[in-house]
Amino acid sequence: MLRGTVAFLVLVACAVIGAELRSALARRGVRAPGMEGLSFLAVGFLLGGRALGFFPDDLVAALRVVVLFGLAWIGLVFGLQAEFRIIRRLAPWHRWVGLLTPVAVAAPVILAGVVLGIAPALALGLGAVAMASSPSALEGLARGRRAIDRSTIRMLKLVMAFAGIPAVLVFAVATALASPLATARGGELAAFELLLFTAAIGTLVGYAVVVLIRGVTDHMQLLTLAIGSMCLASGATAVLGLNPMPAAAIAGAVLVNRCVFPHRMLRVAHSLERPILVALLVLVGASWSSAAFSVRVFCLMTLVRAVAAVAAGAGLARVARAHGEVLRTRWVGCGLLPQGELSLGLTVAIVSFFPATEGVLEAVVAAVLVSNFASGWWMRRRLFAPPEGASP
Amino acid sequence: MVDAAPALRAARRGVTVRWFLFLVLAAFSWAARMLGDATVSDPVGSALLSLGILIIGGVLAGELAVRFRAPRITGYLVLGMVAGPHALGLETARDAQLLRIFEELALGLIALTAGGEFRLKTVRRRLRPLLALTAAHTVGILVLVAGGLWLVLKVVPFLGSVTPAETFAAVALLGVIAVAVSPSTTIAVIAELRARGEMVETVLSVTIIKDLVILLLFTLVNTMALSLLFGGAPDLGDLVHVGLEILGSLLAGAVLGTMLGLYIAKVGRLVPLTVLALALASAELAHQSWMEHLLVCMAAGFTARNLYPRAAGHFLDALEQSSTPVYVVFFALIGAGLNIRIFAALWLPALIYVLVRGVGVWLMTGFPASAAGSGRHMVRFGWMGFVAQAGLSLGLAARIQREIPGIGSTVATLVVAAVVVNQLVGPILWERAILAAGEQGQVRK
Repeated sequence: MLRGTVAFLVLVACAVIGAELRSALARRGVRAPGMEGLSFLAVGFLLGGRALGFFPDDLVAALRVVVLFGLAWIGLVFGLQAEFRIIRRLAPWHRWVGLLTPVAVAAPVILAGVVLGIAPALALGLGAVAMASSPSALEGLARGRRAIDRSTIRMLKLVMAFAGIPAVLVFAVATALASPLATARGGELAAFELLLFTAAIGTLVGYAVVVLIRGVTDHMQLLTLAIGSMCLASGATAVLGLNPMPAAAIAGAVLVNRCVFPHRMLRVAHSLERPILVALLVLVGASWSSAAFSVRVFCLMTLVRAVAAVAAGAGLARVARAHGEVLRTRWVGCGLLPQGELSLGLTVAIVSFFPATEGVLEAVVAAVLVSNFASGWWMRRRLFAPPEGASP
Repeated sequence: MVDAAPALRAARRGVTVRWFLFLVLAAFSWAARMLGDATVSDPVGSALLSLGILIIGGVLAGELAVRFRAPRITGYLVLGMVAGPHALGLETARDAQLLRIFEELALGLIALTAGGEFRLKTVRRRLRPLLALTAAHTVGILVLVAGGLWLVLKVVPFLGSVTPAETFAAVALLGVIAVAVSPSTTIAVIAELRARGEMVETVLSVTIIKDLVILLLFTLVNTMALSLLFGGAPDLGDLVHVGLEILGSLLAGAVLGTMLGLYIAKVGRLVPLTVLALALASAELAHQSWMEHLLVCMAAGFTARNLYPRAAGHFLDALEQSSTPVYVVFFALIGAGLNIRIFAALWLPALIYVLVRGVGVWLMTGFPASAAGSGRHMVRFGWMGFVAQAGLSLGLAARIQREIPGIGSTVATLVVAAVVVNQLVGPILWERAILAAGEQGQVRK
């Protein structure tokens, strides 16, 4: 427990130092392209078991309760954004493009993963990670650029907003396949049962919260009920060896579509999102192990994903043109390259629940870093370059 | 009246539906745990499941308590007792062990709030009543309760066959534990009712001061009891040791509080996380050394509030106002730790002890408060704020059980049974007192 406390103190120190560092760099005009939590990740690594040693591996394992609850909370935030009232207002082709573009990014990653000998459940998990892109990177680079194609940005944001839905679904399948309960009870059928169980937990918790918060207006009361329900969802899934994120996302989706004032709940969810992400990122940084590094996963998450994203972006531009919306460049897929906190959060979930994941976390973290730095350069050249002949 | 009936029925139906849903969730969680235990067996998942049940059930029970005109924390406590390992077992003993960190964390936050409420200007303004009440409580309640129990034991020998020396030691120890109160309960009811005023300030201040004094008093009485039972001269070195422990805890708290105040005033980033870290650090200091977690956090809250009244004050006020999740978790876990079975086995002696203590508290609050010039509300209702007992009393009981073989076990069991009653009745009485004094719903000046 002493080390638990020290870890927590270190966590706060990381958060504070990271935030200060970021502000100081921003004041001097230095911006990390997109990834807001980069500083937390870096400080987490510095203080982790491989660097200064304040945060050894067994301690990271001991903070599992933070991981479980944090993953459930991120899932809730995800689910709360799936408001069908808003989705229904979109043109049908927008919906299809939003859902299928992330799938098109993930499919080659999953296939290549299986071909390279990665377990199917893990390949599916990595596919889910590949679907997530970082909107903050796009916004950071687009900010203040006048020569920007607004249609491209809008389309990319649409894809990023939709990516959560297929990502969570694929992730749910992957975790069900990887659950020790599924293995113990005989494979795919048991995995299907667990998937149903995940959906049942999510739906039940979602509906329960809808009823429980009826008539409740106090923010703290809502927060308390949200914390309780996420503890319940994460606990009920974890005891079955399942990842809490899909169940929590389903609960969030039920909640946002069935309750009278969904935005109150969204406000509640956002109020805890940042501290939870900070905690998860520092844990990711601290869990970094230079000794284990999966080159296969790194290649999947950089090369294969980049090619898939660019191809999916070209397809997206073509579909948009077919519907009368002309995007200025066919390199739209560059905008999907940078990955951020969400990918790291999903990777933490993979490492926590999947067997034989040595080196996966390290490879994904490296891929996320590469995606941020390389895609910044690429996006400036391809996505935000002024059209030929335009005055600077 | 006619118009109100459908609304009332709808409200009742709403409560029934919510409880039904909670029971469904509890049954579902139980099924998941049963299914997973054989193969997966994830203790952290199981603990989170219990925490979820306690939080959701606690919120519902709190609402139900309000309907019965009781404070919310009574609902949290009852839910914890019912769901805990001593009753339904929705929270297992293993879960309770894993969730202890949350209890410590919540206690730290509550103590920080309590310390932040303890203002120097209040102490200066009400010095006479504070001194009079603290002195009367520490000496008067001890003597009255010990004497009263001695007399009752002549008529009803509820301790069984014991020697006169054992009887003397037992009543003295029960007397000293009768002095203890629960600062967390006091502050929780104050926070729920947004209460401010002379009575509230006096009761809270005396509760905090008594928390310091009780440790010294207990050590003194315990040493004398040991000497009486096992011979030898009382080892007053223990008293010096405890004095140093208190001083060390206060100093550590003052240092942490200064750092906290400075941090909030100068940096002001991620303050909630920083405060959580402080509470955890204090809990850890207490575990690894001789320091008292509650005292460290109280001293930290007091120092931060009085050194940086604007910056830290605003934050501590916000902490008090946003404390619902902390109270739900803390009191539901406290409730889960209360052993209802012990009360069922020892209800008569426990009730006798509770009654004798109640009379002692009533006498030793009204008269000294009146003599020291307190307002009429403090004189009439102030005693109700000193009834609740929780963690400190249970901790002292555990120490008695550990240090005094034989009679120690009987005394500890009796204290646990009495704490069940006091902790259930105390918050209700304290809420009644605040409402009777009209000090609820006040805006902080």
